[in-house]
Amino acid sequence: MNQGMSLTIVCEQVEVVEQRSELTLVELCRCARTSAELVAELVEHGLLTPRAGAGPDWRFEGRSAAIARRAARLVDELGVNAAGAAVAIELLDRIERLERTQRG
Amino acid sequence: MQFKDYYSILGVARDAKPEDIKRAYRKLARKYHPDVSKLPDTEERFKEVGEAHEVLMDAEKRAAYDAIGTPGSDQREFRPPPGWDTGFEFSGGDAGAGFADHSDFFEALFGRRGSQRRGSAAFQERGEDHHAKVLIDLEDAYQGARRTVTLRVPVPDGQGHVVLTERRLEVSIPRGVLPGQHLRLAGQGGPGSGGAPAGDLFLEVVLRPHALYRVDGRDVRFELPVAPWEAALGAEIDAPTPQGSVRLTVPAGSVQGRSLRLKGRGLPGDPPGDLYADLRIVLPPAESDTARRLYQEMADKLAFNPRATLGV
Repeated sequence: MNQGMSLTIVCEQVEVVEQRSELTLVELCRCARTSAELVAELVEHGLLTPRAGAGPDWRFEGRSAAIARRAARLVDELGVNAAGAAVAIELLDRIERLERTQRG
Repeated sequence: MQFKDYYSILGVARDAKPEDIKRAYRKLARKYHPDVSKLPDTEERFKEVGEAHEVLMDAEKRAAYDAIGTPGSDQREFRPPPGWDTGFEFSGGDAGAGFADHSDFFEALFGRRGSQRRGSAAFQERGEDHHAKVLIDLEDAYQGARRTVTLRVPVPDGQGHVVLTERRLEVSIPRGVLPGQHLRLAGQGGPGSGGAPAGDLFLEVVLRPHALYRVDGRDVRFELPVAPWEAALGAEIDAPTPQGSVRLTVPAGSVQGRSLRLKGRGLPGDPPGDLYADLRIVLPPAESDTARRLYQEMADKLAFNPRATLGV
């Protein structure tokens, strides 16, 4: 319809969220597309560990974003709760490790 | 356009109750969830199952879907009947659909539901974040790359409809990026209202599976076939790496599965990962007279019992 839109925007400013030294709770939620409530539950279940702060002032390591996103996907798409997502992720990681040692 | 039989996708009868549909969906969602499943094309199947669930669990959508009937088994092409889109009105309320990723069939039936902005423009509100995936090759993660990402962005057309426009972004993929990580493109999300800033675009990195290399965090592994004498006597061999071939020393007395570590040749980073060559000993086939003679000579002259530890 709008043919004028077909130009390509060049994005030089690309940031890898997981390589950031620190993420605020809001930044983590935005990247992982999830709620502060779920993040709090994931912290409670030990899947995420804040490196500093308390409650709404939590600071997380950058790599927490990928973990939170993975957990949020399981919660949103499979209907499990935070505890279920934590168990699933631990078991999936274990399967992956086992498969690696088997192949080796 | 291909007709989608949502009932058969979920494996339920056409008069199935919502509980049955929910149960069938839950089971298949677990089976095909891309994070959980190792089956091929899970992403596609998972989407299909989700779409079937979305339609059949919504009384309005299910009624509309049932009204178009079932095509014959050989009638795979589906054309919406004339006027099919005028008789139904959908209340919507689909929360959080940043990039609702539906099949053409779904969109023909129920329209494209994108991100409807709520609230009034009088409020200052940051634009919505958008999320999408970007598929990269292992080589891109090693060297960095430029990738063009095409996004279908829902935009209101001013007459109460949402139309999809294409946006192409050329993104520089930083070297050392890992699968599952997110690239943030500041300000490339939805526009803000009342002078507030635009949202961001988050691209989740997906690594295209490689025929040879497997990625494990920053480490990379591959299987390196060696001849029995190379493993037994040691050898200098040429081995591939994602950055070109290298000369590698196989130590004498290497056994099947021994991992040779090439320090720092995994994915770049601080510190970089390592590259592991897992040795796989390949036996030469005993097809020629020479090969058979040599095997026979080993059989005759080597006191070797591979089952010694089994007590037989």
